[in-house]
Amino acid sequence: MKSQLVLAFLVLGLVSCMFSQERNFTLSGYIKEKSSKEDLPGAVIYAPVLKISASTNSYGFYSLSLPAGDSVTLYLQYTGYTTRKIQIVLNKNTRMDFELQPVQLDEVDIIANENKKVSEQVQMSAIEIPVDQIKAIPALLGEKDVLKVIQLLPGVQKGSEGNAGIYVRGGGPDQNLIILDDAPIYNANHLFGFFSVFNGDALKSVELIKGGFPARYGGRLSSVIDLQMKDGNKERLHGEGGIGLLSSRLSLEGPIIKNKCSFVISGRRTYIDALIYPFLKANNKFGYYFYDLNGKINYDINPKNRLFIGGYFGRDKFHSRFRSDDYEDKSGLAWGNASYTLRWNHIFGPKLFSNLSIIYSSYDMHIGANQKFSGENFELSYRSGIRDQGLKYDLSYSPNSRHFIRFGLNIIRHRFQPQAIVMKSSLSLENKASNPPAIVLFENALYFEDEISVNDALKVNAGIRLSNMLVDDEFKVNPEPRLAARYLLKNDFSIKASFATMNQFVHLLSNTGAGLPTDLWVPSTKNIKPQNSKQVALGAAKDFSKHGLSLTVEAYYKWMNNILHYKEGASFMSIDNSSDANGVSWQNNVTSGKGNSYGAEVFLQKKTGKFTGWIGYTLSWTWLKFDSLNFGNPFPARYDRRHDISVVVMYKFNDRVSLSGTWVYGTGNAITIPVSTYLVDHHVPGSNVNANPYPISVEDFGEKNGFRMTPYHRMDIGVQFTKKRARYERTWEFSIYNLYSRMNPYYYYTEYDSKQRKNKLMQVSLFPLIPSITWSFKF
Amino acid sequence: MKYLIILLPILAIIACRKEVKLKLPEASSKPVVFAYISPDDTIIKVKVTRSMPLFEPFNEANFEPQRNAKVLLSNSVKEVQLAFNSSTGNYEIKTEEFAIDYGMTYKLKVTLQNGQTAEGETRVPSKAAKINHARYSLRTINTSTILNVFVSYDDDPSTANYYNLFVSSIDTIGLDTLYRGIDEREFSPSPEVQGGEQKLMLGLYDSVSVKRAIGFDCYLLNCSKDYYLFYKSVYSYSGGSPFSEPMPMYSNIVNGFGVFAAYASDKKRIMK
Repeated sequence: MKSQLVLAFLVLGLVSCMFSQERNFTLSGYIKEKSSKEDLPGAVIYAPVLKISASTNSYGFYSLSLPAGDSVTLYLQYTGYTTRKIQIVLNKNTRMDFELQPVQLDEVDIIANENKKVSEQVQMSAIEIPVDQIKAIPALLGEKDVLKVIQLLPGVQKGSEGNAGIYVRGGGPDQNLIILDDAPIYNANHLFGFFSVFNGDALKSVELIKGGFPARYGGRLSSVIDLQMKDGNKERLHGEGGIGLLSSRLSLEGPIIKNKCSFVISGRRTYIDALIYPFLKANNKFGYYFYDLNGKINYDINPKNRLFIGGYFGRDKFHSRFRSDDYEDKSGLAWGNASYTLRWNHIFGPKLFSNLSIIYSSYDMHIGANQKFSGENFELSYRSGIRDQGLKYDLSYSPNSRHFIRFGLNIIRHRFQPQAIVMKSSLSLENKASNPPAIVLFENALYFEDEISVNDALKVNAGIRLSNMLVDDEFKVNPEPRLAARYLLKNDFSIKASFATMNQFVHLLSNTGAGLPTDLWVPSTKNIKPQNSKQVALGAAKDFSKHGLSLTVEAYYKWMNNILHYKEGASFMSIDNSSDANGVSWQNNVTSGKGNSYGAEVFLQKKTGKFTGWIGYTLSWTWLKFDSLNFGNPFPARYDRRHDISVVVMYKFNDRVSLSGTWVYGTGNAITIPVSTYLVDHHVPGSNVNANPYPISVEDFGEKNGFRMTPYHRMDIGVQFTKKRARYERTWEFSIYNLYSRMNPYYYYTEYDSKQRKNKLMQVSLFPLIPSITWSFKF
Repeated sequence: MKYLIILLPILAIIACRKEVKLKLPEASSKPVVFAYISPDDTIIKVKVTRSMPLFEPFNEANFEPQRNAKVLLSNSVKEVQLAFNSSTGNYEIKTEEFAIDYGMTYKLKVTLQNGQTAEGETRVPSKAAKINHARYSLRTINTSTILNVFVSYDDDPSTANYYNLFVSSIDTIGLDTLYRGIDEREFSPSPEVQGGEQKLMLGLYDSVSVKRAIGFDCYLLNCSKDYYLFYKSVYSYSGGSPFSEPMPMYSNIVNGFGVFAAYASDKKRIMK
């Protein structure tokens, strides 16, 4: 607490002294993409002689203080775009919007050394992923997937084969704050976790932060995945789409009022169900589909005010119906997210920018079953969900060239309905219904952060977030100090350090780790404390400007407390007392514990040029300890992975042909396997009965997660052939997932071999070599 | 889980299986001990077998009763050795030779012929809960018969209690009780209950003995915590599903497996 107060005073001290800076004029405005007028978040504007710079915020707005009267040379940079050089003399505060255009292929070598420098950024443990790269990387069945690309980054591990689950620096999948235009997305998975819900055609930018969190982010322990949807082309109608083996997609964007109001709409749907339906017998029908829809309208009210209304809606449904003369079984499992955001950007002046977001987000899952036989019937209905309504107000203020201040507040009303169950059976005298009242939790936060250029070499981002949870009359304020610092040792070489404290008030209960929709979102309550973590990271960043390369090396240590887990043997359907409907209670089936994770990451990236890609390596350890699990002894997390390597390469021969490939390697998952077996005799009371006719065979398991699966490795390749026609451009993509058909483990089980009279450990692998073909177009 | 069961065959279509060629964990064979003691029984029985390492050749002898073990049962004042009964496969002693008393703690020590020793300790509940009322209902659907049995009893709020309900049918062949196979759905150990009148229900489905029974014996067991925890883990046992975390079986046997547990019981007979 003492250190937190010292930090708070330091921040306030810096705030007071910054107003004593000399008077400058401010250059401010938006940086946009030239043809579509799409905002470019994260673009850099800098004056090399003065050694001052600014970045555009999430809405493409920048604000840069410059000395009055002098002629200043400015450079505008954005990855994948041609760097612009401008000369300017400021005699007053000036609003100036700039436009950048994408790099042409014959320029790529020229601009390679003008890339945004990682060594200059104060933020560490953060990676921006260009959407174009996400689309270029080969994917399972050709389905481009942002979360699977994030899995290829150092410090990020996937759960199991083909799964889109994300484990960042030892944290669980619920510890990632996945936000789409400020709205949290609670279940980012389609098809039982094999694909993510994000349609790359609708996205403008993706950023992953895994440590050194700025104070503006909070609510999760391990990472922030910030996705921004496109605003829509303001100049002309533009579309793109594609037909793949699994799904088809279509996006349209264009002006509603030219240069003032635009829209984007993007949809995707699978069609396995439609293809197989005619081949199924009339009495045995089953199917599965998912779809998602993104939409957004952007309206520039005037130069100082802009309005955005956007939303996402997606759903998965698995359904089956089996019928015979006296029997009918209908069942289904459906889940989906919906999120809507209304945002208002307002520029108070050249130094002060604000954004107000009103947010709605929901996730729900429903299982339904109805069985009828011989006039009797059984019905099951199980619902689980979370609904958020939120308000977020963010302000950024640039008083001078040495300070960039962000502050704001965030209020979220979470409404949880973890379990609502109805079971009706004509065979039972007692039907069961459990519909406990929803739990409402308010999650509030105030934050303040200042990015301070102490001198040319030292830059600091100091901040504090005061987070608060209000549930069951429980009110507690948690100070979360944040600090990140960069020290430039050379022009292109810096060392960095960061510290962050995080609190998390929502938890995901999962006993599979497979990202299934049956995982339950539950709140902190009077009895269940918020999860919290502390993370320190140290690192170095070096830019090799001549080759367009950047290298970062980081080491981290993370402490996690009050992390939540199902008790052993419990699941989402655990029923404590079968004679009592209210015996279905998640709170009785959870236990909390702690964990720690530590490791080192190396990331070598090339973002520009004909040849792009990266190499990532992670060395890590993750340990968990729960009083109620593994007899209270520490055990490695299932996703504890000692070595994790990813190599991603993309090569663009010319405007028509490009190649891409990935190779990944990871230490096998830590799992628990049985080591011995014995028979259990049921107790039978009454002295006349002396034998149990039904002993059951049970297995004794070794150390929890004490056995390692075989290592995971896989290579994917893809080639894209693009042809420009008069009115449109089409691309054929051929890709191969798992090129050398490595049989990677999905799960293990034991099987008795009657010939050898002993058990064997068997491995199930999912995906051998899988070729795919996708046709896509844009106009 | 039902959907996982549907999902598994779909995965199996595209999935490939092979034996894992990794060094598998080694395990040794350990004593497996089951003993349930009660002041309401006339005989004390202890069953002793052995566990079998999973990845070693199957040896049926491990699952057979271990004949040459030394089984000692003791309380704070007395220790007795139980004798092996070859007809039942249990180590036994009559309660008239070694009394089991309410509220007392007992220790069990089993030494196998190879010198392996396993030990356990349990405490007998201080009293049995009396069944206030018992009733049953029968429904016949096609060829199946469904029996629901209800009992009510008073819980002692001053102690933590764990209850369990058994039902045996009284067969027309005689009044001897025949064991009615109890499966996990029918067995419902109750967690701690907090005073007042409580109700337990047990449902039995499709049994010849239910149809021809002339009545039913209801046993209400006030169990030790060991008993409750053990059976809770037995009925939560997932059998190694790849989609759920495995649950270690509860055991209070040190250096072995199984359970040494105690109970006090009340019985009520309801005739058809």
